[in-house]
Amino acid sequence: MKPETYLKNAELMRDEIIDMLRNKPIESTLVERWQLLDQAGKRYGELPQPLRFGHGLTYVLENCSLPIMPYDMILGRFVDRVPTEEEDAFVRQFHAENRQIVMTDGGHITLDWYKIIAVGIDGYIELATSEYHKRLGNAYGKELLFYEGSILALNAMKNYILRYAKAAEEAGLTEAAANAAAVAGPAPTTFWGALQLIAILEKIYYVYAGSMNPTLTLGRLDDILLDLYTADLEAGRITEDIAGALIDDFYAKNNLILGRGEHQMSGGAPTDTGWWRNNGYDDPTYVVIGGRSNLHKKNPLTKLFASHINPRYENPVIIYRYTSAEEHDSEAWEIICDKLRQNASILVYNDDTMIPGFMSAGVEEKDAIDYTVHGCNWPDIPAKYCTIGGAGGSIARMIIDQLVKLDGTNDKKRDYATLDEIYGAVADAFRTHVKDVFNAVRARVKADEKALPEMTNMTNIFTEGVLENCKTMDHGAVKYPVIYTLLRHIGTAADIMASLETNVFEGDVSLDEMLDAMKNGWQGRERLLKKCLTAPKFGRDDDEADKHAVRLMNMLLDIIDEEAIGEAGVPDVHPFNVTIADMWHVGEGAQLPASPDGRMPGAPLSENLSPTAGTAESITALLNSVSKLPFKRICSGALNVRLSKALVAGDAGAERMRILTETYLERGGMQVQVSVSDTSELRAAQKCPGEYKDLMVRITGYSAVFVDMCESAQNEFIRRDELA
Amino acid sequence: MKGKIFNIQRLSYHDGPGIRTTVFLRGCNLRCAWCHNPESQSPKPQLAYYRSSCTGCGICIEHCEKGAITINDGVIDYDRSKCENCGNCADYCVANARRYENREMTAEALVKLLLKDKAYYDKSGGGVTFSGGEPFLQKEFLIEALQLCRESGLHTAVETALCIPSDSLREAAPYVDLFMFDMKAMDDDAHRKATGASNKQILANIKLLSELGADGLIRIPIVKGLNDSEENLKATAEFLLRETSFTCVEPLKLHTLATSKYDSLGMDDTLSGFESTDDETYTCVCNMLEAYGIHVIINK
Repeated sequence: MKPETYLKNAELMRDEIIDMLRNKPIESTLVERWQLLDQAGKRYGELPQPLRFGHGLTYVLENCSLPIMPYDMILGRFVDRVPTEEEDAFVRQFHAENRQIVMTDGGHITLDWYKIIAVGIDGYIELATSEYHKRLGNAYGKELLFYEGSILALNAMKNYILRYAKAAEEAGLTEAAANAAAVAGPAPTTFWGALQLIAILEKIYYVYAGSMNPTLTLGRLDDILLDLYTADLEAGRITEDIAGALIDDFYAKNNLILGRGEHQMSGGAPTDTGWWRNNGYDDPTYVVIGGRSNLHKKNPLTKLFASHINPRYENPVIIYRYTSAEEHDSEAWEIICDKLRQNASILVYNDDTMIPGFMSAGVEEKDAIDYTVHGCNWPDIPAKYCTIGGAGGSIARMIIDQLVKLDGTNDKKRDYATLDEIYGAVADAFRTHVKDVFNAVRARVKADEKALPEMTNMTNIFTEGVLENCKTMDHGAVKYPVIYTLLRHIGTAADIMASLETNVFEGDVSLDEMLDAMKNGWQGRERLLKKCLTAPKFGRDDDEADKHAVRLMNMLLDIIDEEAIGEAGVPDVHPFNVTIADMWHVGEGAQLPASPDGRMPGAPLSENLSPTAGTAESITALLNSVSKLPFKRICSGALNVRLSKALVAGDAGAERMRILTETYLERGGMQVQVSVSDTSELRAAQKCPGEYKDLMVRITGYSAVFVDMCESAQNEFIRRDELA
Repeated sequence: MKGKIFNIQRLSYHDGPGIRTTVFLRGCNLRCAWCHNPESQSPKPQLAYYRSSCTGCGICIEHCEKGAITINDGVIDYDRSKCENCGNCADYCVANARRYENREMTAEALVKLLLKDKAYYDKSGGGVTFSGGEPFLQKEFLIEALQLCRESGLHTAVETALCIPSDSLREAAPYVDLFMFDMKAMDDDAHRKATGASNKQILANIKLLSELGADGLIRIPIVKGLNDSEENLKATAEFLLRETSFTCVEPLKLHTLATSKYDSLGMDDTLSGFESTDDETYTCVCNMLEAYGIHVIINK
């Protein structure tokens, strides 16, 4: 192709996606996928899981359609259309009867993209075949089944790519066809080839192998692809413009998997077509760029990937890793800040806290350097990690639970003479809980030493240690079997402690009065309510509140660290401390009585790392408060900030965006994600949704079209303080 | 001593260069009819009542000893003639419809707070702006705070109407990096009519600032019929070019967004009688000033 053809093709692809994001019918979905899976289930449903998966994926990939557009450079589409009434009924019945029995990949993971690009699918086939032959003398059982299923699946992927290449050749896309064919089995040798392999594996994963919302992180693309890119440039096979056009095509195609309507937040809205549509559809994809690297200190691809981010796209969500280390590329960072102010789907993470955060959980530095994030900001050590336990929860709930009975009576639980006693009670309860979880995980890890693989799927195949050791990732294969330790709703928790300190232990309110008022939902206690509402609040850069956020976090983190120490006197579990609350501040709050911070019964708690809605007075105060938290002991979490358009308008706004974000990160902030949307605009969008189809907002770790969310979710978003 | 403050606005970017914190001090000796901060005019705290936030719960009625609040058909009626500004009702207003801003701070406490955003100022070339009201009405506090800012390495700006004794200006000038002030009208009668005060002292102070070599940002809030005429703009330019070393002016568009503040304070809404400045008028004013040799800074 001529250089200008690459650019023209990329432009046509972009136009297709912009139109699709605005105008795809709500009812559109992947009917063909469900039909094929139903047929595969009927054919292979009785087989042991590894063979069911291997044969099932083969059947699906041999029989699915291979859509191609004349401007495709990267191949990999699927049929996405409005079902007929009959088809719609079939799909609903299929899900109602839970007939999806072939595919098990749940996503929320980063595959071993470094190795995939290094050895290709053939490398995995060779490895699996070799391990299979080593065990041929064994009795036919779980081990051989595991490898047979895995080899079947790998060959299915390979043949699918070849089949697609042939179809493209027949459609006249000679170069795209040759590029795809070259990476069907062997490792890619070019930048374009590598992008093609990643893109097509992503499509296979989401559309055919995925079960329930299988969000997938596509790895550190700048780091993974730099050597191929450099070799292409040196050999004259590519230019920066052509690479940019290929990135445009790649980014654009990440949006094909999206349906109209918002998959978590559309319940009850006119856009709601039910949770079932989300099975392998309407999912975020993630691309990671920037940050420290084990391989490259300078990386021009970071800037290239950053500059091609299209703020109008929902996918991919870009995870930009900021670092103060020598890898920092100030030009790429300025581009990212400019995209942020244009409301692009970007999550900014800070290597300066994240890497120490992982290391505090027992991750080696070289592995921590390769961290990624998936789904709603879940932390990930690619191909070396698996979650096998969970502990913790809402810190606000932990405190309320020590004050009143959460059995609906909300009766007083016990007397406390000092605030320290309340801290102590929370600590004791948390320690008991953490000890139980950690011990259960220890027992499981020990049992997994002898575990044999019960199943296989794409996630397992492309995770380090699985094929090598004949173990699944969640039963002994990975280097880091992880416990997610949740520390949620710190804003409300700190506000509760600040109010108790100010009004009760240092003020003129008795604890009995406070607890009675809570029990009665503040009825007749407006003066006390007002005092609670005006007590120090987290998010205002007020040390009288922020000190409680820091103390609570450190207290709980200390307990986690202490309980992570095993019998040998060293840590023997990997707790990934996370502050992620997703949208649970609403659901969790609905279950709780009023709280001493002035919260009404059933009202939402603070959202993720944000202060309680309505308390933030300025963005700098908010960022200063949050950055006081001990993030070098935490592995992930989201800080949602909603900025006014005026604040970030124009070049001066881009500069403000950079200064605000950079200062926050330099002060120790961990993560930030930005929605640029004025309250007036959001209200107008509620009235005239048709005029605001492009209005995107950040939910937690992903973006959504505002007008496709249900009204309650829209209102909840509007509750987030607009910071001007 | 303590300063009387009615607002501290962090991340301010219209009151001087870079990212700033603007401290609004109470009390003003002008009464500009288009004032956007009517809550700044009185040196004493005032009770503000925002009808749009009121839920009509009526709890404030029980706590008003003067009987200034009543309820009729579910609608709260607030008789300001009976209100003695005690603020008791605000202590019970959980909807925050009744607000009693009575913030008093020492200069040390204020500067401690201002320093919290120093990293943002330093990165953006910003700092601290003292505004009002007329900040020089609290001269001792202002100068103490300016001195402490200077000692802490903060860039300082003061927004003043300059209707103040010249000695105050001389005293403060060593601690001020930038003075920001308006030239509202050159005709003294027009100025008196629009602001309640003569412009003589103001013009004398502009000359003084020039003599002192102070940095100044001169602004003209474009008020139709008051200062948008060729005659006024020519006189403004001539004054600046002949009598001072200042050559730059930033014309400002007038807007009428603050009218709800007048209602909340029970003040006569003098702002709603003005029109927001349209683009055509703004451009015309800019062009005329440039024609008279003034360098115009476009307000974005």
